[in-house]
Amino acid sequence: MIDPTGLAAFALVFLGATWAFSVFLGPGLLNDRFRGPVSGPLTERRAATLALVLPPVLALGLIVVLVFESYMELRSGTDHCLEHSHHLHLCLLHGGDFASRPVASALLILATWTFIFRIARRLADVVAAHGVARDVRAVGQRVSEDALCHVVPSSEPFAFAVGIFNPVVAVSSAAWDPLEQEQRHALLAHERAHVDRHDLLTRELLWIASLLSFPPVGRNALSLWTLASERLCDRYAVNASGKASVVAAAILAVARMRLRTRREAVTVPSMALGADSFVTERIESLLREEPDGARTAARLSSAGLLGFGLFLLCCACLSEPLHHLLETLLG
Amino acid sequence: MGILWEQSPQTVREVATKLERLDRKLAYTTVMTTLDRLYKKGLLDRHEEGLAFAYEPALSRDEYRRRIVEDVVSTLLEHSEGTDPVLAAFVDTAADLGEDALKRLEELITARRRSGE
Repeated sequence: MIDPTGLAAFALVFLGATWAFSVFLGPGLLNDRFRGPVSGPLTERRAATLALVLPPVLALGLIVVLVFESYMELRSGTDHCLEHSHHLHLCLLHGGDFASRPVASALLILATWTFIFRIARRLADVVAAHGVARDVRAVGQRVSEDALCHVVPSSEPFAFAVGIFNPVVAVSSAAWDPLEQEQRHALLAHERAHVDRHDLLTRELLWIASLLSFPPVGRNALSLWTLASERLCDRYAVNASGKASVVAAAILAVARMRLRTRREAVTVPSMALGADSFVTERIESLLREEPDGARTAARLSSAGLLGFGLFLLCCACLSEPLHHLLETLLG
Repeated sequence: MGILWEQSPQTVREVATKLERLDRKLAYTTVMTTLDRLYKKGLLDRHEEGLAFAYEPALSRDEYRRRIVEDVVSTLLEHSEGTDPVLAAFVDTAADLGEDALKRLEELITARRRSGE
């Protein structure tokens, strides 16, 4: 008979293992080897994605192996826990004992509550973003060269892609009007690249993964992913406009407009993470013509897949000692 | 708002009649409450005409659109989780990017253009 509270023990192991993998893998994937001018934005994006996705995936693999082992024991009618009763057990039959420990229960409740609370808040933002996309369509003036892009009347200079499932590109008249034609073209190409690459959806999924990660690693990886994505879309804009200097000039022009607005009204809301360095890094990166890093990114993906396969194999082969090691660690 | 932009000032009765002609029959009190709310939000002005109020738009159609967009964009940005908004901005805030940094970047771009691009 499976005790549903037995899953509490596995949930604790999942959370602990995700943090442990995050601490172990994060610094390796987010170090200078996969960053900077030599790596290219594709490599940086892939490294950041792996830093966010691999820890929960590996932890899930570990849990699947442990649950499967416990389930098979139950089916065969054996109960190895009777042979050693000096500690609590990590199995479907007796795992519920962990839930009776106040510290374990408190940890689980806190983690679940935090997760649900933050997801709910984020969901509200996503719904609000959907509303913005709808309003932009309603009040904006469609740009002739791209049906997705709308110029909206506003005295605040901004340009962004918004809406996960039905995205739209919004450019305020304050940002649009002063730009030269080729700069407008570059701006649209950049934002269009975000839409075509489904960056908004991907970032939301990575944001959820970052909730499970060790916080500094999660924040750092998400920030790195965002910067790499911006640089990647800048490259698309260069391909569309033909000149890196045009894209760089468009970024600088809008940055200047925002700085001016900020001076005039101190309450202009901040629009993204690590913004100041993003502008500098993006322009420098555009002008030095860095490689895209596709080859290293592919290698990283292969290494990640291979590592995951090997890890699962090791877990399956060593499930018995691993199971006891985890039981001992959990007390 | 559309009815009042077409012709103003108008009383609640006149707005309700025009809505009815547009196949949007609403109770007189509903129209009155809505106009009163728009007045309190600063979107309409009003003055007394006999026993009733006559309403007129406080903003032009363009100003109204601008306000809607600015409101929703500000709300979205304010409500975004921490510093990670649910949109992809072309240029994020230039919060700490000083004039010197901007000048240096401009020089880099000028140098690039001079080099033949």
